[in-house]
Amino acid sequence: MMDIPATSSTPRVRFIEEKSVLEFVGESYPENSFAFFAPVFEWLNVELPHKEGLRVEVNIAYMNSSSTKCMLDILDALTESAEEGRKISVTWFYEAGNDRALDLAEEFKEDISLPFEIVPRETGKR
Amino acid sequence: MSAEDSGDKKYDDLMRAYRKLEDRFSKVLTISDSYQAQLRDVLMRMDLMAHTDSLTGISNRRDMMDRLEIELARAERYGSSFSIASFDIDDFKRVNDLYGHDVGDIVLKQVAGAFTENIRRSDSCARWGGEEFLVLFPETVLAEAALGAEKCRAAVAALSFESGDDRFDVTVSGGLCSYRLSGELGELLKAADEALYRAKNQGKNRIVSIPLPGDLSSGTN
Repeated sequence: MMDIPATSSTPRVRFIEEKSVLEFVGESYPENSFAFFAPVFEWLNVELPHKEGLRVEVNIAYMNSSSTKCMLDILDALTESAEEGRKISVTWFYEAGNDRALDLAEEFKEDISLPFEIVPRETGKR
Repeated sequence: MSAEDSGDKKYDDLMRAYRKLEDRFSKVLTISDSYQAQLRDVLMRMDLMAHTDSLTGISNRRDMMDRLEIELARAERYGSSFSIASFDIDDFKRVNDLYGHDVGDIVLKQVAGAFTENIRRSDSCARWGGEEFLVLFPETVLAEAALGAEKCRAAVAALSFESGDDRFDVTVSGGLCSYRLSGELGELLKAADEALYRAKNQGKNRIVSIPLPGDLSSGTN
């Protein structure tokens, strides 16, 4: 069970058991990103090995550079887990009509071998 | 495996790890730059929105207040003058009542356009309130500004509007005054409103100028 509530500078991070979904929603620019994401890495290390599969939904409009580093590391950890035979996919939401946000999504997707779906989200909806 | 081979392998592994780290570093920078660029875009849009009237696209009241403050400071510093004209669309309520707010909005936009097209590049025009506009004539004495204000009035009077089968015209009244030697912004704006009030009372569709106390130039009605 993981459910970290959102703050103005951090996203909500929760694992939805019934759907096997790990979701990130909000913006991410905490003072200490590594401390903020530590429980997520903990979860990936301890809980994920007991799961058969996972869908990761990322709906983050803005990330600072250390959050970006953490997110890339999370994607790495997911890739390793998938290589161990788990069925893992990523759904990345971006603001519809925002070309820069689409480019960013592509940038995250680039080096990742996981199934990675990029989905437009209507403005104002999360 | 010889000691030499093992050394080569360690070196290769290290190089691979190093390159991976370097790639990751570049990627974080690229992504961060892109997020920053997005923030700058938003900031620029917000800045523009903060100074612009969303309906007409011309300056809003806040932007005009900034301009007035700057002009006042300049006039105080250099002993120069400037003029302002407060305009109000005549019987605008009737336009809204008769033809609806959509037509009213079209009128506001076109009046704003007429002002913008008929002032000098150094002048500025803002939507001051509902159907009120304010024009600033920097470094301009009353008589000269009166010509500019009259040009704006005439440009609006020359506009023609349609709604269904109806065609109608719109006029504006304007109150003009100048800053001379001393005074506060509030006082100046009040004088412009007083002049506008007189223009309305004298039958609308006209410009009335009033000199401020201490203003040596004579008022022209």
